[in-house]
Amino acid sequence: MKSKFDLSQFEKIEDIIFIDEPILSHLKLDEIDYLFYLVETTDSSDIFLLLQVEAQDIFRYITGRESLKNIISNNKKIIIVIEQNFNGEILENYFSTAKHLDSDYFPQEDSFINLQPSVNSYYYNMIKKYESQYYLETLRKNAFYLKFESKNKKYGEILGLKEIADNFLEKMSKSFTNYVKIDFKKQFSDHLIDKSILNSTINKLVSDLDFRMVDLKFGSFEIGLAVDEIMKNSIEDKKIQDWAKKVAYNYKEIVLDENITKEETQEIINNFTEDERIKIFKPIIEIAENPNFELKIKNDKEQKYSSIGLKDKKVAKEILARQDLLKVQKEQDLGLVQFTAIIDKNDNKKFIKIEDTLFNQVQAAFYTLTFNDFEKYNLRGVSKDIKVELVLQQINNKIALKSTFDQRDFNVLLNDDKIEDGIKKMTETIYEYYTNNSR
Amino acid sequence: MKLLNSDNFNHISDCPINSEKGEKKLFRCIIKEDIQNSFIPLAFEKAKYKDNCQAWGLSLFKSKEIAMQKLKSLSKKKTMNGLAFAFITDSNGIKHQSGSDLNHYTFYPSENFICTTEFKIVEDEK
Repeated sequence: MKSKFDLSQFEKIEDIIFIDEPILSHLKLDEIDYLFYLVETTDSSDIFLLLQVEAQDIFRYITGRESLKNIISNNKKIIIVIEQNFNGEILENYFSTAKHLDSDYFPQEDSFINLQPSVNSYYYNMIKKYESQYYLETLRKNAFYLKFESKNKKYGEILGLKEIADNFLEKMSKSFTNYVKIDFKKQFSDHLIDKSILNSTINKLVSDLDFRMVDLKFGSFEIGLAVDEIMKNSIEDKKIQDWAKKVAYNYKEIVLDENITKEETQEIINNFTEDERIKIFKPIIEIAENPNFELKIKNDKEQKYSSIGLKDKKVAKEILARQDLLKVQKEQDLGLVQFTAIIDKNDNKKFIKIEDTLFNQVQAAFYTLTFNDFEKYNLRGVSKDIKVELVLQQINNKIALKSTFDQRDFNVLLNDDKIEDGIKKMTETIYEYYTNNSR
Repeated sequence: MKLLNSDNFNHISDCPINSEKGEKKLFRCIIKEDIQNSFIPLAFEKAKYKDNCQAWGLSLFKSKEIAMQKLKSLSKKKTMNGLAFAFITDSNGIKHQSGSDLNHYTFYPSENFICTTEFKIVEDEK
């Protein structure tokens, strides 16, 4: 039966697979995409399938995301089977569906390709265009949503730019950045012993760890936030890479939780110091407690919004609770912090903390005990040349004083921040040894 | 250098275009059971291609992996089921990248280049 099917009406875009002749061609008609697939060659004719596809299907196939087998077998539209002689004349065509096709017309299950198109190829730009869309869609699937609403009816609940920036975005960003730095230090202070490396590593990572804004709605400000796991693969250290993929989700689960139970509150208090809790939770609590605004969260686009758990005043108060330092002599977490002294011509001194981060700590500081120190504590009779090097070190959040005198080690551990008392005790201990051994 | 079958495509202008210089290891999809017929240009078989320069050459691919991908995308009714490779030098014929796929080459062997002996079959194919 002669067919009147006319292939010449289709525009040929490119051959996707070519082996001595076109095997799989991309055609277009009225802006609709088709694949023209040579499935069989007999002694006198070729059999083709003509199937309508989405441009996305072609993108996914040529980038190795989908097999040709699935593109054909999942096709829900009519497939035209065309028989053409070796002169290019169509002998016959009939309609079919994927379900009814000869199973040998399909390629193998693992019929994936990774096309490397030339710059002139149609697919060169197509891949670029769809890569960025694909990236966004992947992120959106896993996004959670925050809604920041104004309670002020003056502008019909529509927020201003400064309102959003000052009352929401800045505080969210501060809380999240602090969480990331604190958690990184907790996880990796043993893995990266050198504090300067610890510091520089987290500072480099911070921008890569940020949530990606994948959805946006104006008016009452709603944003969809997602974690970009794909980009994290560029982090070389495997342990840090694994941590980086989870840290933002952990932040959301702990800090932006819709309902913080009593047990979870206690866990927060156990896992974070008071200072850490202030840095992480206080900015969000300030957002939640602001009477002019409302902050809500939902775990995906389809759900309904709920308030965040930190809006509960009782929970917020417990998390930020300050202890009365005068009543209880509690153990302090101490650290050594580096300051730089700037001295001008008039010998005016000014001390400046190097940078306002969590990681400006130093491992050790040094002090030399001399004759004058002994005199100061009324410890008389030592040699005027005496010099004893004291090392102040941070060990497990306490300060230890160490020295070596006459080949003997002396140690004093401070339970508080009274360095002067520690130095006095060290001086007295060395003096006792000195006087006992000089007799 | 006289190319094999050139009498059949001499009438086509600029056929073939200039060769890419240097030796290259290239892979061909073949019918394992019919090596002899795995190197016949399609223009002999299909009249619609007799004025098509590319149809007088042989499709080759830059790597085994790429050639294998093409093989796996053929329908099960297509008879190509294996791979073969050869080191093609300047004196073996004309070879050049063709089409929009940077991994695809078209090869026009010289009269002295016997494809069935020069190409070696690759194990663990389709």
